[in-house]
Amino acid sequence: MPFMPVPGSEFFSSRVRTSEEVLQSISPDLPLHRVEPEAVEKVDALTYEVIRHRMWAITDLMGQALKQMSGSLVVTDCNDFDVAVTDEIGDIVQIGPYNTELAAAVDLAIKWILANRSVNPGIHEGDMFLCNDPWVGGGLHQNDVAVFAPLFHEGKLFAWTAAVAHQADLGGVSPGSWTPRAEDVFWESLPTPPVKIVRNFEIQRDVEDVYLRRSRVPKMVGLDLRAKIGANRVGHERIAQLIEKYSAGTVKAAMARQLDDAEQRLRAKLDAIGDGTWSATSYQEQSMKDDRGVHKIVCTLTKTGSDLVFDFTGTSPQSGMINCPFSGMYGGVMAAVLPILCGDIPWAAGGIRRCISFVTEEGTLNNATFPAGVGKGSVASAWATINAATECLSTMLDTSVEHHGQVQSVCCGTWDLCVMAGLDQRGQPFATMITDSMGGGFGAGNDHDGVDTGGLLLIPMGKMPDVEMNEFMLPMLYLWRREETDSGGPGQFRGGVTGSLCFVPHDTPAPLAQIVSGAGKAVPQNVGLAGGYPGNSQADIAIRGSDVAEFFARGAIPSTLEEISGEHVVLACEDEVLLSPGDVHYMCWQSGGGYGDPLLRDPAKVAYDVAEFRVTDASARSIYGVVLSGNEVDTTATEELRQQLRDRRRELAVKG
Amino acid sequence: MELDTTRVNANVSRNAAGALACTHCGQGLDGTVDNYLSLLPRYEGPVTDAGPQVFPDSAQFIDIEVVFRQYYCPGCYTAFRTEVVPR
Repeated sequence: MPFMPVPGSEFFSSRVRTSEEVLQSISPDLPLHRVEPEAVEKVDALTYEVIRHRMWAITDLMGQALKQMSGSLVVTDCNDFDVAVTDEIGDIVQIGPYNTELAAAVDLAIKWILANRSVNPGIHEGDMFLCNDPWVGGGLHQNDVAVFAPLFHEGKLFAWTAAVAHQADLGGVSPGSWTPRAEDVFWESLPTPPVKIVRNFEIQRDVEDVYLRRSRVPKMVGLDLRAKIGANRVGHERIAQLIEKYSAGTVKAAMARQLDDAEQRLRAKLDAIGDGTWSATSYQEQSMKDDRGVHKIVCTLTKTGSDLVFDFTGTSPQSGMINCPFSGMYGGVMAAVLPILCGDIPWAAGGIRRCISFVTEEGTLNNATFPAGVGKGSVASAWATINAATECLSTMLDTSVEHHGQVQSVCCGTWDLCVMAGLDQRGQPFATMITDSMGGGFGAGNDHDGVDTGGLLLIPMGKMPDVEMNEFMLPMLYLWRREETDSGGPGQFRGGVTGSLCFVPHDTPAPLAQIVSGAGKAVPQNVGLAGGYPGNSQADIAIRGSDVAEFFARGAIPSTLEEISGEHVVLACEDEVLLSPGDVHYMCWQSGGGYGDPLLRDPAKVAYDVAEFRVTDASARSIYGVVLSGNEVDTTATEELRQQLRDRRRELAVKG
Repeated sequence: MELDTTRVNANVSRNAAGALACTHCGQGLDGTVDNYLSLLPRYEGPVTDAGPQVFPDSAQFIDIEVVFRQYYCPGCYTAFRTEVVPR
């Protein structure tokens, strides 16, 4: 369906702007704490390193504070949140190690606040701003709610801290605020541009009520709001202590040096790589319920000297509910750049960003115009942007004699979403997301296998929830959660295997409402590199009217889908269903892609994988060309089989 | 410092004259860095060729055919690229 942009909505569309443009947009009545370049030069190396590491520790403390105050499993048990410290104009000096996709676009929102809130209602000491408008930035879809806190020193705006977390439900037509039926944003949670939620150190109850009134779980969301406010308070207290010890001028100079240092170190790395252009396409099937199409994000990376241009020309038009605004494209690129290019560079994203520019078309999947549906933006088109950027960056690195060791095949290609809502075992209404797919498989490198169920590239500190905790908190019983044999992308270096889980509703009197959402079921998103194969397809399967109760009655637990009787239903990429007592829900999220031709893999490693149940004997033969005798490699038979497979390729191939 | 440009990627290298060759067997390759892949021998087949990890029936979800595609060195038939993509 074509979208007609809402007149005036462009006011809320953040874009990357230069420091000069930001400074010109700020009210002259808002005094800024600035330092001269000479002061930045004067900070001695030891003081700089102490303050730089202290900034990292402050973001770590902010994260700990947020977790300890939150009551949401998504935050406390999965780390789906992040925090950041920026300078006075919003450039990120230190990003937290949690969900980098969330925090990577914090700067867009702070610069928007400076431009549009510094006159009315004004930005003052003791204020905090709440925002869940992904067109403005901060979070990448409406469930990502950010709280931004300006820090003043002696009456001048010194810095900002930010805390962003995924909220379990913020309204909209479906539980969890994601709806596969969304034709536009008006089906989803209301985007709220920055509003002053805290004024003079006090929560504004009227604004809070407007915010919480939309949620199906307002108490939990209200608690999370306080957790984010508390995290910002922790950040402010620690930065104030730093200022007291070293002086405001020295701390600010060190912060500026962090930005410069990150930029210079990335430029030095890029200078050591040859110039060129690399392209990748990431696919998503089914943009909404009953859609039968495939939608693509096209990324062309051009490196010239120490500058990178990410060009998304050719990306499909916005469609259904899988879109993300500019912030999702921007956050997606940064979430790939940080771990792949900057593993040995401080994550001062504001400095790193100076090496990067973007070309993108309005009205496309990852630069959607209002009122496109963006409720799934963070794990749909923003994540697909990460996949395409990962492939481009890795093929660029693979050309480098010095840096090819940092190549990273695409990891788990999206989020396997299962939102559930209903009555829990205490008779209380609940709405939450099942977050076990935090344990995705990592993509292979060019000298190592991907880590099995190693996590997600974009959430370095993400973690799988405890099965026991999920069963304690939610009306569910697990039949299993385990790693899946043969799921990793085959290659000379194998992609990390992924996991699956299977559960039944338990101790709940009514059917549970379920949102099932996630692509990669028909077209793999976890692509391999250099001849490596893609990882597994995502799968969500329901078994209606199962006989699991009979297993329990005889003291048994089924361990495969095949053992369970009932109607087996393969669920679509975007679906909204009911899970009734007696039904079974199975989900298998994505692994990592492989690297290099599997026929080049060390046969001993294949034998080890078979012994460890990571690869079946059948795949050892058909994909890797390895013949085993017991647990040992039959070297002669393996050489013969590999030659046969190469001969077969020669017979079947056509000339280019 | 002058860059070492002998490495094109894990599978392809470049000699002093700029010609491309397979890293594994030394077979010379046609074309340039920008277009050599399209000149390689290519196989296209069903997605089941990708292995058991890939769901075999894309028609359950979409109306577009999905295929397995692989590009090979013309000498040793090492796979330089493997993909499962819409046709």
